[in-house]
Amino acid sequence: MTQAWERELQKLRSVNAPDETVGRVGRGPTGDPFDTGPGPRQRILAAVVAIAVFGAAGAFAYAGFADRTDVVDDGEVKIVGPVAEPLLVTFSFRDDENVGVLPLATLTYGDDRLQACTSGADVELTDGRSTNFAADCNTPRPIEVPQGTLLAFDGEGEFEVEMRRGPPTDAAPGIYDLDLSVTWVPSESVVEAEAAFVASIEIVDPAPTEGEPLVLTVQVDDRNRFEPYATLTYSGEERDLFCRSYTVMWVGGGGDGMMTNCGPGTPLAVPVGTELEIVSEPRAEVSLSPAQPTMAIGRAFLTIDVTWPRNDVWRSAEASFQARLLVVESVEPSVTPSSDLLVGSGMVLEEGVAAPEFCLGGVLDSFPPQCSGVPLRGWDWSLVEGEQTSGETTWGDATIIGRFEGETFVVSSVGPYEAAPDEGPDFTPPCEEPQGGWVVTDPTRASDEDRTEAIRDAEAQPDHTASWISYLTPPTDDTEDPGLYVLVLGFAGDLERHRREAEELWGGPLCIFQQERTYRELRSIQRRLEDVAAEVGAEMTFSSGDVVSNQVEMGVIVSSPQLEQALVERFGEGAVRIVPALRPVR
Amino acid sequence: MMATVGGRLTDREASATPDFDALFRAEGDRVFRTLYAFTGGRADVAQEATAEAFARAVAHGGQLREPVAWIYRVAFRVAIDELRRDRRRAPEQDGVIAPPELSGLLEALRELSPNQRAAVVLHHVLDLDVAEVADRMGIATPTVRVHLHRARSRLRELLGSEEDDR
Repeated sequence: MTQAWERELQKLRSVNAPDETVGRVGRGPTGDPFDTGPGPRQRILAAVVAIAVFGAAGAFAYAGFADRTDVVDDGEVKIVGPVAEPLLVTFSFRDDENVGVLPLATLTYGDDRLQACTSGADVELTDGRSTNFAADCNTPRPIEVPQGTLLAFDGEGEFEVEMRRGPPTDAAPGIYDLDLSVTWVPSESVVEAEAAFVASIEIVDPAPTEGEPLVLTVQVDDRNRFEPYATLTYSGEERDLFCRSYTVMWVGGGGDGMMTNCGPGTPLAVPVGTELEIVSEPRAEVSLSPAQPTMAIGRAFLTIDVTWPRNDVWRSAEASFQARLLVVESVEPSVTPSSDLLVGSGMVLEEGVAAPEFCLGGVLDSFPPQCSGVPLRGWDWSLVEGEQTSGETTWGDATIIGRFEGETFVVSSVGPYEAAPDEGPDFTPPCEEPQGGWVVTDPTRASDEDRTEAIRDAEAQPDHTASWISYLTPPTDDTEDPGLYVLVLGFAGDLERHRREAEELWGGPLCIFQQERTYRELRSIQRRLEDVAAEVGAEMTFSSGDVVSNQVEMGVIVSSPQLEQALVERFGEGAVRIVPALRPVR
Repeated sequence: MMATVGGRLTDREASATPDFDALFRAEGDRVFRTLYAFTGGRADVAQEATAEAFARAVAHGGQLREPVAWIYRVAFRVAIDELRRDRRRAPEQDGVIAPPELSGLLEALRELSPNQRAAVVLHHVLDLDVAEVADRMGIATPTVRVHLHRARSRLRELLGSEEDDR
């Protein structure tokens, strides 16, 4: 049986390449024929599990396995193992609490399809294949599922489903073991509850480095203002994790895992080979993600979400899940540790069919936003939170670690966006405070007009470098009172002459100081930056003059020793400050 | 000696030039089909991307270790570039002239992201498993699953989930 969308999709089977395509191939490439194309996909040899479950009031569970790839997607489980040894799977469909409600579940394996459990009704296979499934909804019995069998499960209604792997077999060594059960507790009326479980784990040990830790951050949220409870076990040590009114703490031992609230906690250093176990009980959301990737573990990502409806009144609903993750070494290291890993924070924007872009070259604050940046490969929106979509455009903020392959930035790891510290210029007067403090020496020449005239005169000088006002007290509505600020004027030449000239125009607090490069020189440097960038193959994103530091800021995608050297040779030491959007991972 | 195993050319060591005629006969329509969906029904772009990818593969001769996956990934990239250029040239035109029998499907596919379209076609139309889809798309297998999950959910909403016995 097929669903309507599947039937529609099959129409594409009739779509073929036009006949003239062969001729076009024969004319050869129009692009760069020596383009090496995308590099080989890194092989990931470890546990990979992804689960996504449920619509409204749905429930389901399961996964287990193994050595190559496990597929758990929308309730689909593909069992892959090196040996054709069957995997023992037990299914339990229970409907012992919600009498009168009609649970509905469908299990598909191989070519068989199972319509299961309606108010305690027998389980039967719709195609008549004999089965050793439970004769009723309450008696689980194991079935044997050959390696390579595709299981599909889709359920909705008020019921409980459990799917468990039987005893580990040689064919399915216990690299990864995940059990999930979600239980809806009966109440006077049907309880509406939603649950989603997403777990995605990729573990790569590109260069087995024994003992190098995997750094993880555990986060517990309490969206429902109740008291989530979770237990994290690692290295044989069990810790309880409470999140009560947005406060989380570890109990049961000290060590390097301390959480201070329900937000992101202190990273844990977990050695390769550590077995992690997380058990979460009602009303908790737990996510586990790497704080920083290490070279020992190329990438690890796990998110588990269980969400309850935000009702005004508490409804009885419980869920629990348990995940055990054993970090193992890659059988076939495929990633060479190198120093070319880069990290940066910014917006990612995907528009229509274009590849997602890492917006490192500026963002136009429209709706949806527009930006220029570098194309991303290996981007996955499920790794970020808070992305927005409008029409064909999706955007969100993230911190990305990756490396360049040609002009494409290949994603290695994704984390929450980290805003750059907003360090504005330091407007402290660069002059020593006079004896007696900053005072108005001539009130008759301390008006706004006098200040404006003094600045205008200074800026007309060829050796002028900077002009600004330093407030001595936080600005308020009457900040223009001359007693509250210092007029700062910078020059590259004769300071005494400039002081005399400025004092003739301005009777308020005055600071005259020396700088190396004139304002005109800074502007000249700024205009020439693009040429330098082009010479060394750097991509410039912005430039701006910083008169306070007497430098020009040059924004680039990524800096390089060649760029640094070229700037020093061309403009002198310290004239240009490079602001890279991507920095090397150290 | 060159062998084709499940659409994947092997035996690089023999350094013989792959039989691209045979490869095109085996995979040409499938690449085009995928690109047709990926581009949301832009047959012109799909054809150019397919042809360009094969042409580049021919230019590389026997240097490609996995020519089939390589061709798909190049084709995706060429299509993206072509659509990007196209949008700059005539942003108001989408260039889609869909056959009547496909108009509903293409309309639904265009509600998906390009990667979702590609994943769902590679998996459900070309019958590739998830690892093969990941290989063709140059992305990780968990990412493929997420794309597939979202694509199926959306297609159910858009095209329906009622079943028949076919």
